[in-house]
Amino acid sequence: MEKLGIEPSLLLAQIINFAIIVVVLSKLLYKPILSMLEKRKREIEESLRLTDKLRADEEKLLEKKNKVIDEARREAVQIIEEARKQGKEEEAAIVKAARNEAEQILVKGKNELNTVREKMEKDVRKSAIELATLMSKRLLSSVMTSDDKHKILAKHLKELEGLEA
Amino acid sequence: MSLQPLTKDARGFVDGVVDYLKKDGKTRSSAPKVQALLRKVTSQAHKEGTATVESPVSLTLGEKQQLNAVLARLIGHSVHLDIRVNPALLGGIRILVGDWIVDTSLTHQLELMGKQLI
Repeated sequence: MEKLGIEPSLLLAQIINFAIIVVVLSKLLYKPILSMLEKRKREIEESLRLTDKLRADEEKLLEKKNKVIDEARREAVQIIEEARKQGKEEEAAIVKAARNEAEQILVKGKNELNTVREKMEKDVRKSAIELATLMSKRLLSSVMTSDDKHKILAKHLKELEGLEA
Repeated sequence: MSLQPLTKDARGFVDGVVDYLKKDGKTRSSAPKVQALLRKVTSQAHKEGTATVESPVSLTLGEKQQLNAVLARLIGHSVHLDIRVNPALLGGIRILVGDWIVDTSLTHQLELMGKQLI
């Protein structure tokens, strides 16, 4: 070793120095840095995990939101359809009621018209008969002679004779 | 009975009334027969002593006697006749004895015809 120019005592001292430096560095720098790196690594992993969780939550919320929107859209369509159907039914009912009412008014009008017509016909008939009776009386009064009246009287007395007691 | 011919206007009116009545088919009713106007004497009439008689002309003695005989037979005893002339009757006779009434007058017959037609 001496031929190579290496001093064993010096080499030993350097080895000891190096070992001391390694121990010191290990104690003072390596461990804190390693600990810091480990901590940083855990923080990053935590952040990533949180990010994944947030993304998953966001996806769930988005899915829920779409579901709610779809449900609301379906309900809206259903409500519109029901309203349209109900509107048509009400329209039909109103038209039917109006038609019934119109028919009733028509029937009532016809009945009233018939009643008025029948009454008028009856009145006209009554007036005609009364007038005919009156004219007949006047005509008979003017054309019948006393002799005619006695003949009628004789005939009626004869009829009266046939009446049972 | 000798009837004088009707004037043109009167004939037209009568024809019109007859045509009108024919449309309703009520012309079947004609003047009521005298027999239908005769009612049986009521029990109250048997108790009466006076008969009120109305006629369009004054009754002759023969008519009075005939009427007296008829009423005596129907009522069961002789009754006093209260005879009145009522030209409005036109023809026939109206007899009232208590609540028994016999009216064969032409006026009554015309009114009955009118009622039947109405």
